[in-house]
Amino acid sequence: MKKNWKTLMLMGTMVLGMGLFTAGCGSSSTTADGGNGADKTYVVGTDASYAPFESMNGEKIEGFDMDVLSAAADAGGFKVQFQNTPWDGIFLTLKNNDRDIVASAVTITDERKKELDFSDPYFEATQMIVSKKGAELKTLAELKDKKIAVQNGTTGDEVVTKMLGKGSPNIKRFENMPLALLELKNGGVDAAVGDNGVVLEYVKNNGAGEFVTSVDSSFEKEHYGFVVKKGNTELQKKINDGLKKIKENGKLDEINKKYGFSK
Amino acid sequence: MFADIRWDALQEYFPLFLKGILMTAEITVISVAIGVVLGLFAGMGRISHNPIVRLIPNIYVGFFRGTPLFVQILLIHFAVLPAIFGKSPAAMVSGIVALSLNAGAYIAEIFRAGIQSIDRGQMEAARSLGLSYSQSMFHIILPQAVRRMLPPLGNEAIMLLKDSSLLAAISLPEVTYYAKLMAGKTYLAWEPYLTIALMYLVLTLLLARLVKFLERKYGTV
Amino acid sequence: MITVRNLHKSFGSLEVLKGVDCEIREGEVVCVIGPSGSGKSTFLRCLNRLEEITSGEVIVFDTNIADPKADLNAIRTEVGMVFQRFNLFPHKTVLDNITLAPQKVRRTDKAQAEANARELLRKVGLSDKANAYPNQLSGGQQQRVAIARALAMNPKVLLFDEPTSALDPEMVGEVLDVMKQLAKEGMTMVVVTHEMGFAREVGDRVFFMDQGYIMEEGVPEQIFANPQNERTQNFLSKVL
Repeated sequence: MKKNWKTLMLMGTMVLGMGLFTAGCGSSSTTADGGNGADKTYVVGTDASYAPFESMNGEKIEGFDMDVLSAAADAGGFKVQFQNTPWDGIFLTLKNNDRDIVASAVTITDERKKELDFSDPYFEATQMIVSKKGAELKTLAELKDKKIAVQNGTTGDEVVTKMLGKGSPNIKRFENMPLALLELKNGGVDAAVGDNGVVLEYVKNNGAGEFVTSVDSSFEKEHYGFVVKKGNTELQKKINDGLKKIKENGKLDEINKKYGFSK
Repeated sequence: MFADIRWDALQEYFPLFLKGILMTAEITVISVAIGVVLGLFAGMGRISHNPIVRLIPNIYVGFFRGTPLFVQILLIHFAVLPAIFGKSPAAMVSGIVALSLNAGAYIAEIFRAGIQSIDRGQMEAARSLGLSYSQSMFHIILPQAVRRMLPPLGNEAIMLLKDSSLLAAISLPEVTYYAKLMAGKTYLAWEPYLTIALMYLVLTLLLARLVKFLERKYGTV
Repeated sequence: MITVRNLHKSFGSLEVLKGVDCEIREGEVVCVIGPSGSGKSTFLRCLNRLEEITSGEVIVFDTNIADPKADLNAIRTEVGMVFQRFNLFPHKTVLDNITLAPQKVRRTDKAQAEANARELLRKVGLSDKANAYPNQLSGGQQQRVAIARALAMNPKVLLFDEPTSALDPEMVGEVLDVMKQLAKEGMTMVVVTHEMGFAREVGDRVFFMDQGYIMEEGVPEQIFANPQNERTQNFLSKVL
């Protein structure tokens, strides 16, 4: 019995210690985004496994999101520096002031708006179902009893979770979209659901004849936005100003064209 | 701070964590069991006098001890097993295969060390009575070796329990998978991760207790 | 019963036995004496091939056990061995130590094996220790159990590898008494020993080994009273 108490005390102490530690952090770490020089460099988190929006080219992060945000930054008079950041936990880096902006093909949703602030939309997207030729699955309803791969915490995840429930064993959540699509390719799942831009890019590069893509009519139009920490309206405004300028001066259209996203 | 803990969110996801920790325990138990069998054969192979018999377990142990478990999991689930079966197996299958193979390699070394720690005279006495090599191993050497192996085997089981968290990467629904799910949906970190950390801690403490108990019961020699 | 011809044994580049020839007849007690490092123990361990034989012949009951194809397990059931350090199985009781091999090798049923074991324990004077574990026994008691364990297989010959060297002096007697009793009953025995008294009293023949050879052999009276070989004289002058 005595030993049990000791164990309990130990655990209690540990939990308490952690609490104190965070309390200390909480009170002293609000300065990272406060000081603003004219061209402060903002650190941008992006999960560079999401071609064509963001991917690694050697050491360099490149893609649609980089081009758009860089152009907006130029126009808005601030600087950005991109940092590869795993999708799992990417929004926590904003909370912890580790990143100032997340630019990672993030869909603007009401759910997310509760915890985060978004810029104006810069891209229109939709969810897409991808399945294998010969075993086509074209509508959301057809996915009901199938195994579906998604990227953890994405809008694709949200769509199938809403349908099947978050504890469903048929939803296979992966850390990034390439792994989810690899699982589909290997036959571990019957379909994958993800953003159209990424799915199409993957299908284009991995044997167009092998996969079938489809958009369910119930999928709503989605918009990508850049994300900042909740309450960081100053940075939100800077980004929006920049976005507005590149929308007006045709720069955004130019980038869209470069990636083949014509309206 | 702790006053800010989102108990409501935790409450919502807690049933999933319970489901997950059961899966974690299940995977660990199965993998340790298979690992012990693999480790027994590989460990015996490694002490063989025949260099050809030694070769395969040496390569096996060398590979699985010399490469990260995480890489092994990805390799087995996304490449090796699909190549063998023509399609990805269930994550549970890949998970058990990866963890068992990894555990087997470490347990092989535990067996080898355990067997070699037994005095040579024991094998000689058994053989001089006309017992075959395998009879001597089974009746004389292994029962003594296993008692000495209990502490390192217990450590290995604890390691495996903790390392099973890596299986979240292949979407195996163990407890870390559900914690990541919660983090991905709620953008919370403390609530899911501290909770499962405590769950792991409870399991490892229980396991350590069990090993102590077995040691006291069987570790007389 | 056992014929050894030109037996050589090397450990790596070290040649321990350099050509041993001898004969051991049924019912006789052969004591092997000689200085440390003379190859006595190695010679004995070659007789049931606990040591791999480098070259030469060791014929045990018509089988050359130097032949790699020889059925060693079968030969070993007929050749019992008692070790310097007893080598009892520490995880088994005295009774289980004795009954294991008869049950597993001879397929004797359990009740029969236990009855035999108890009879053997009575013979070595340890009837009350059947359920003890080896670490609860003194050295002398352990060695007597080891002898009972070897006898349980009903061997045709018993090999003793310095059976009293690891014992405290006061326990040597009890072990030698058991061995004398066995000799009296006509058991064929090969005994590597430093107990010159035992060799003289119980041995039918004595081998003096040195430098990897049997330098001299003969009846004890001759070896001890009138050794021919200079090395034998030298050795005996030191130990007697």
